[in-house]
Amino acid sequence: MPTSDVELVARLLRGHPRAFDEFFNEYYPKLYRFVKRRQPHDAAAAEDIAQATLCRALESLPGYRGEAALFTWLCTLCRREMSARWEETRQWRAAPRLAEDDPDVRAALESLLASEQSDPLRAADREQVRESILTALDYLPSPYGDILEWKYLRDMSMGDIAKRLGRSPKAVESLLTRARESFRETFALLSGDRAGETP
Amino acid sequence: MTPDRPIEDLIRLAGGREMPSEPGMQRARGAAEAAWRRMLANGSAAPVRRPRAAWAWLAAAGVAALAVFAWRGSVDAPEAVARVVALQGETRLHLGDAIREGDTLDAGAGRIASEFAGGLSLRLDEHARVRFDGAGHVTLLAGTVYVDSGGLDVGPPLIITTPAGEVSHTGTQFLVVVGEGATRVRVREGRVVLAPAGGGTASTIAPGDELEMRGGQATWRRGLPSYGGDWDGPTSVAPILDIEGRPLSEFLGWLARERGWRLNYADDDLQRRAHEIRLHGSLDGLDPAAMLERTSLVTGLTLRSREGELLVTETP
Repeated sequence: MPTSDVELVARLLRGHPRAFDEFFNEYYPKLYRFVKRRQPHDAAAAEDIAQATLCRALESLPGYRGEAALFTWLCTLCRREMSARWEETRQWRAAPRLAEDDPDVRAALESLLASEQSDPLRAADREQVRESILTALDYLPSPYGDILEWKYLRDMSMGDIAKRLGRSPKAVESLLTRARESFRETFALLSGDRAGETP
Repeated sequence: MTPDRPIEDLIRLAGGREMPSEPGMQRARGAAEAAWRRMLANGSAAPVRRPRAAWAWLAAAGVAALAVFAWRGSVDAPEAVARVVALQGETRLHLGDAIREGDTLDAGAGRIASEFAGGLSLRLDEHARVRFDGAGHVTLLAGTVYVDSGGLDVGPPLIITTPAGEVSHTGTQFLVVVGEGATRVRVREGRVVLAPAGGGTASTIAPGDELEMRGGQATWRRGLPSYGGDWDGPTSVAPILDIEGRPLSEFLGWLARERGWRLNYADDDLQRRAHEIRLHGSLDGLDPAAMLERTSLVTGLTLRSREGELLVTETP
């Protein structure tokens, strides 16, 4: 588990309000997108499931042993939540299989969350590429995904990013370099051979 | 397209990641925070401090409440950052209650006035929920709050975090409203700055102006009155001025500031007399109209408020 996950959980367990903000802002949108990719035509259901997952996770937080990255643990809870909801509404069979659901890719993503290591793989078609990019951004260790979006989509200056993160511009430059490298590896993983084999 | 394509191009190709709706975010935040509080109240694996008293989620009953954490011993106990100075409606709070870092105030069906060290007043309208993050920082979770720093360029700094960004001031009176998918900031006096949550250019809001942020879109309203309407609720919970021995002019100045009125005297002589007249007794429990009526009776002056003006004249 990345050090930041350990610290964040410890602060949540101590009742630190800023930790709650960090946790919610980081993971609610990610869980929402995690569900939405599997249920693309029902944003309201995605919001409900993401909310239920976060509530369950927070109530179960003392039981989190840190054997997996926090996002991996949340995704596990989210899959259970989706499964329960979709069983009720008989939508499970209609849910798409995604590259990140492939056991090999999942294992690699989880490994990447812990060690930020993976193997480079080849790309798929345009829509798959787009999906892989968005998924990769969610699976990057915090705050890599945000930094890449702020820099390349919102054209924020390094100074503004540094101010927002409460770090020096030099530290942010270093973070951006690591974010690019981490993104490259994750994207390669998601757009590679194993993803192509997913039914 | 290959993984070697410049990362910048790839991220631009994909566009921004989809976000949940603003109402969905607010619902989820409220539910998740309640779940987190329940976990803490039920006894977590917290290594340093552990709540020993059950956390009362009294807002559900429509009762103004303070999320109280009673920490074991004094180890790492959160500091008091403000105190309760006035209350309206049914409440389990008490005047003088300390508000500590991490506490959440929920006004329920009542209203609460709190005061920070340095005199800054933060007032919660009905159903407002505010978390006190530190001595100069709160998060407005829902509803309407009113801030009075005590005057231009005075009073301690305060940052209010909202879904739309961080609101800060330079000595002022202003309202912040969070609800129905939008954040609104309206200014009565001074200047207020809203720094967007997503980065970008900060907006400065001037007296009489209101900025509404909804889904990243800004809507301005100009030339709004400094009294009535949205101002009335949260300002009505002002701590009552202790008038014993104070000049009439001080009471009138205080009331006009609280209500957003202009204070005008019919002539200079009346203004001089208002400095000389000393008041006695108490105005506790009276609304502004009753305060003026009673003060008028004892001073022999006519005190009339109309359309944002408090006018002092001789009684014919």
